Amino acid sequence: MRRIVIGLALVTAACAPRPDARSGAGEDNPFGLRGRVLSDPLAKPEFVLTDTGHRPFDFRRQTDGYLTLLFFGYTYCPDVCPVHMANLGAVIAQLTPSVADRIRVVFITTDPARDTPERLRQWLDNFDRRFIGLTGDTAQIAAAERAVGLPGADIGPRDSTGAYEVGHSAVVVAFTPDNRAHVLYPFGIRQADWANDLPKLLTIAWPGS
Amino acid sequence: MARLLIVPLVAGLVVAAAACDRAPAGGADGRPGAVTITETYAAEPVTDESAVVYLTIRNGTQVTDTLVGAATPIAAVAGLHRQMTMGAMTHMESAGSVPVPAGGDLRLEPGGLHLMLERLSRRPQAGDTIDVTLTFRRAGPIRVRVPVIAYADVSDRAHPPQ
Repeated sequence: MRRIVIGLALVTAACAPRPDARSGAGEDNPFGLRGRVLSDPLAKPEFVLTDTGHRPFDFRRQTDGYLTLLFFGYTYCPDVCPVHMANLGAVIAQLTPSVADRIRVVFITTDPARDTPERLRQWLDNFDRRFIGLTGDTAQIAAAERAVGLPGADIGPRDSTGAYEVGHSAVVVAFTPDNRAHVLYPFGIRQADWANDLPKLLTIAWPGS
Repeated sequence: MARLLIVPLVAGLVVAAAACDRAPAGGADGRPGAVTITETYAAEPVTDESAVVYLTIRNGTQVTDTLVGAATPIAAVAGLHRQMTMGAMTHMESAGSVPVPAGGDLRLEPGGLHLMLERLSRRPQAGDTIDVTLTFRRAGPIRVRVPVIAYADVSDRAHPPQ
């Protein structure tokens, strides 16, 4: 049996048509964001992984001050990963360059055995050549996931053909320019929601920041 | 620290449960007394290995039927995969056969149950259509033509604006 461990957000995706308005735009969310606003923002963690050019990437330092959209996934992922990346690529392509240049999309593989830097680069280029792909060894990646508060990757057993499935969380974590994560985007979020939120995320003055 | 994420995700589950009740009472083309397939689409793959297909099966009969297999000329393997929730985590496994309740729907949709085409003989592109034959224990084989769309169009297809 092939198994995959995925964040609970995937269950939401199975049938929730719009996780945005009902959960995000109420009185608890004065900014009109369609993502899920965290009551306790998360500090941007420090970790160093390897980018698709085989260079070390210091996550905290090299995304400092950017709107940083962080996602853990893998290139063999059937829908959650490519849908998130395709939606972000399509929306960012519509932004003015001065806005788009203030955004970093960071995709960290949870399947480093198969997602070589070259494969990651090729896969990400389907969506946006500026997207940053990171890899490392399993322990480094699991540590990065824990640092963000996500469950660590779980790699399932190989089946008779040698194939296996890898786990990941289904949410995009948005670190705003204050280097804190205030908003989560579960699977099911649409391009219209990103188009609404991305400019706001660059300009909101968060309390306490 | 994990608590930060788990709380909103559990809240999402409640939203999901409510949303499931919104499924329409009848498929767009659902004939009474038959098993019909609607809302078919596939995502244009961005790698050579596999493609994913979604659709809705409506069982208009009085008896539960079972989806026992699938095939397509463009892939050596066509298998159902589904997720299983165990505690706070979701596990996915190959789903050999899946029941379709009498008078009910079985939905294959992003993030949930899906048909995975593996070992592709060609890589379908947006605008193509794929022939897929679904085989049911009672209704037998049903052939559908599945339009291929870009991953960028999947969210609006799966979750149309209200």
